[in-house]
Amino acid sequence: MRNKLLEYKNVAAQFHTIEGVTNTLNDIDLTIYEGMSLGIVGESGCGKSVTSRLAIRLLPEPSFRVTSGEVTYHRNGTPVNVVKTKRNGKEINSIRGKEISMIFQEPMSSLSPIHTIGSQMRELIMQHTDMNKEEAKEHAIHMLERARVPRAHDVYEDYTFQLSGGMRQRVMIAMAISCHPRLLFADEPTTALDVTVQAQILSLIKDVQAEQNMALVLITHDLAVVANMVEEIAVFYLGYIVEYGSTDQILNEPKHPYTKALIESIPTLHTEEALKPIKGSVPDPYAKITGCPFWMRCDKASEKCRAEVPPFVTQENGHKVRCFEA
Amino acid sequence: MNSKAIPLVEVDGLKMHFSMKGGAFSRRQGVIKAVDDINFKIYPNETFGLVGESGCGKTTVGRAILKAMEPTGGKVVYQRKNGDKVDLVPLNQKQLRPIRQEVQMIFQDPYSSLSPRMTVQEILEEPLRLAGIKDKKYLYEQAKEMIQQVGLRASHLMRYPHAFSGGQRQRIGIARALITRPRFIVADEAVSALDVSVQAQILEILSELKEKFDLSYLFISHDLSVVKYLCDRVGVMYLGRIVEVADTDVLYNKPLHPYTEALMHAIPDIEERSIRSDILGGEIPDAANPPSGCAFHNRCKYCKEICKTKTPELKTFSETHNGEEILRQSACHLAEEIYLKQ
Repeated sequence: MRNKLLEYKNVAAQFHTIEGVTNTLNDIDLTIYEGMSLGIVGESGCGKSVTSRLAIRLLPEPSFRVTSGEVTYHRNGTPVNVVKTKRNGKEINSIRGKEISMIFQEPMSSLSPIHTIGSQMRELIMQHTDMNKEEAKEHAIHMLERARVPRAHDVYEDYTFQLSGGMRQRVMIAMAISCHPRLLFADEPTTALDVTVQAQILSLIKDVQAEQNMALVLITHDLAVVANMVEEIAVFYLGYIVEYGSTDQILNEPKHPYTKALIESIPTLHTEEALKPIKGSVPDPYAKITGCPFWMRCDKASEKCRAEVPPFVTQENGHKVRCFEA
Repeated sequence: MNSKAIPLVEVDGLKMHFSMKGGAFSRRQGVIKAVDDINFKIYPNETFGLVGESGCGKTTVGRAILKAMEPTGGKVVYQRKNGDKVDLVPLNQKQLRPIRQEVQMIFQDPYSSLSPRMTVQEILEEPLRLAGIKDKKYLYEQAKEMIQQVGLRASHLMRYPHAFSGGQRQRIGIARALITRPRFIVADEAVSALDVSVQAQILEILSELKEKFDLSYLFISHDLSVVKYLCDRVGVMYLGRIVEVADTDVLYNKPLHPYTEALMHAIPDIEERSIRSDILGGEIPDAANPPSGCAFHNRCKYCKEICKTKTPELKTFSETHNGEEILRQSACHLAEEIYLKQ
């Protein structure tokens, strides 16, 4: 029996902006267990980043509103409804960065350009632990070494702009794991990197996850990246989870037309088959869509699909699909 | 490689050097050889892919060919529609103007490459206006035809770029490049900013239009899978030099340079679901201070003494592939030893 770590129950959320209201998350049901690795896959605007940021309250309020459902973080047996915590209050501040941590896509914009790597890491460590300055420094260097940063002592004194893209991402990883989080969100951690460096960073994340025994949620638009990295995959489309299953289920027996189409539209090195692009494009976030979010791009769409949102149904072996036809 | 055909574009010894002239406060002085002695040919109706990691000089090659940058040396011989061969490098902007109709570019970022203050119609008509066409009706007809060729509607012509999604904007960028009926197009990371489902659409459009308008592409990309899908021949670049050139199926069947091999291994693949243990270490070196000998030697698992001291030339090898004799090139001292004597 796996222990629950973070649970999304029927979460719906909206952004209220000058241009209108977006239904950013709809009926999100997702459970992250201790030590598991989960991939969240989807195209831009599908709500994958919002889902992760919601868990540590990194979203701009009040323009972002959770309209229903709850997000429960199981903190050593005591459940905490993250949505109800006081924003920037003591409770969420002691979770964010310590127990739930995050790696972002753009290390340059998420690290401070005017502080040394060392001072940024020290600040974080001293915030969450009882270490003094000296101990924090030692711990930070140890963490940099864990993230396979060469010359960790020198890098500790460097500024972010002195490092290459791959090295900055290593520093981000070192920071993210420095308080031994139970859950690490990696939000497109390699999208800005070259392929050879991407391979290095992915294998580092995998090693670190095993060493630290933490849960990993890898968020990406690239199915090929998650294929090698995670045990289970959630496919997002337009704020809905449209399919959920083990990596084998999703990649070998996809059931949702969107997942199938996504797999067929990716060029790969090993197949000679022609690409089958998905027709149309992801709808405008402000558009009001009735029925299944995918019907206007789907070949099998029926009258029912246009009128009703399909339920998220569990099929054999925990494989869940949101489609009338599947 | 069809050696009998006359190349449309012949890049010969192209060099692009940037000098770092430091002021009193600058610590570094010297020359960055962003592109150093590059040779390749692109034949009519061929898609030539140029792949490499960021900083390898692939974009600079594209820009130097189109003279968006002034090359430091070398030749870019282009065969015009009327059969004349011209070297683009010594030409000034005025002399280039008639040739600009025939060679065009598609940019990476569909958001910054379209002016937000012009309607789609104005954007599409501009290249023709620059060519001196003033007939408004003709301009509109051309814009209308081109927008339909890329899968949008004539009613879209009145709108501004902000009303379109990334994929639609990239279609507009393609329409703008094609409106002068060019023969040669440089597409610089033309699909990398797009979502996967849209990326496949744009790739389809590019290959459709290639046949329809008899185009040749220089397709610059960091994505080996996309290049495999679209290109007939591929050149792999590393630190300002081409390290390998071959027909696409030949290259992907068996690389002839350790860098190409490493690059292919680094790509995550849906079919082959394992993390490779032999991941290429390190990062691309500083172009201002390249390693001695073969620029790849400090990351290469096959590295020998000769690689540290002598810069390898791009050599031609012949090989039998599917019963046919083909030619391919590799810039590795050990290419024969590692890959051909197996």
